[in-house]
Amino acid sequence: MHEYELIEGYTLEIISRAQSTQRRCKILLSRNFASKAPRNLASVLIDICILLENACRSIFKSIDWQDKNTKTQESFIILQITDFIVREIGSHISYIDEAQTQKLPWSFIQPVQKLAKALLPGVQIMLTPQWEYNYTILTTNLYDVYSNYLSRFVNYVSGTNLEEILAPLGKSFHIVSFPSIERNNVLLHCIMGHEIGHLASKKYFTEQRKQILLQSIRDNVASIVEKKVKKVAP
Amino acid sequence: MRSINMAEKAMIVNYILLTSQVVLTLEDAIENKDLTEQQYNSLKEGSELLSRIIEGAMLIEGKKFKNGFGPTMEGLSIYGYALSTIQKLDFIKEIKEKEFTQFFEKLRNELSKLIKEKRKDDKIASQLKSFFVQLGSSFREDIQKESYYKEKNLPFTLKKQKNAYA
Repeated sequence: MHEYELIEGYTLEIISRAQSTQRRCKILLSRNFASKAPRNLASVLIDICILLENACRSIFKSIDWQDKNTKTQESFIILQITDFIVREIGSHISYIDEAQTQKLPWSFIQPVQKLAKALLPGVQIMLTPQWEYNYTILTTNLYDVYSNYLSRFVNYVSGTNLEEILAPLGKSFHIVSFPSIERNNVLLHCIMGHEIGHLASKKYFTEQRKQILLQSIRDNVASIVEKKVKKVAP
Repeated sequence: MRSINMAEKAMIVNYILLTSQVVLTLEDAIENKDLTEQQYNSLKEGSELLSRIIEGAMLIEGKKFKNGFGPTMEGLSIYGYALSTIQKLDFIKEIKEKEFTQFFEKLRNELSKLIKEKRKDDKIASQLKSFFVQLGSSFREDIQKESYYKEKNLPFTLKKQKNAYA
């Protein structure tokens, strides 16, 4: 019974965290943004949290309390990972918060997004300031990240359409950050072109080039693995 | 200890959830419970995960790729986790002449048999279960370590260099 109460308490804690993320996103939706991208991200985060909240309830209900070992343990691991995802998703709210109009070079946002759209059709770019004195781009596609995080939860909530939840992100969503102290320095912002270029450069890593790269590292990796195996083998 | 990027983290999280779902299904199979369609799908995805491991093993052992297998970064990355799983479970004694590919193919074939013929050998089902339990634990180790990762406090000149090339 003690175990039941502990896991129940933990489940409620995850649900409450997911609800808090939803609330914060809803508040942010009422703010001003220079483009649609932050709003799209906020609405996706809300839907993700609703899915995780429902999944949490379903996972808790599916726990087999008769089996005190493996099954309870594995179900608890699934809850822990759900909690991990809720926290990760929650940390992405700061991107939306920072993307409010007054914190950005607002007149510059639309032209940069138009440029990105012309160079990379179907790619959505969101601009945010950062404290670090550098320009950076999140080359990882957020659509793929969320899709990977959530695909296993579809089993727990019937009727879930993951593509519908992630649709506002388009097929590709990336975040470009710039040093907040240089917000109004338009001459420095040409570096954003370099950052967007990171996405364009991906096209040049063709299958043939991948094969050459793999060939060049194979021997080195094999020798490292062999050394490790020699250590382990009796 | 290494820092993992966002895409890799999401992939690992996905695999942790998959290994747990496979373990829960194998537990039901061992208890002779009827498996649902959803549970069979989890086993199929578990078998696909083993295929990725085989791809990594083939790449490292320099074998020719056939039967739809090909070199992937994902396979290479997961193969590392599978190796540490073998080490922890002490399966290394069962693998003759470092034929890791064959060992993983054997595991995958057993899992496929369970899916297609819907019958199981208790000993093999338990071996599969312990493999997936430990594989899930290997995946979790990296995520847990990552939570405690802190960037080194670099001197100013090094920070400047790092910023210049970031």
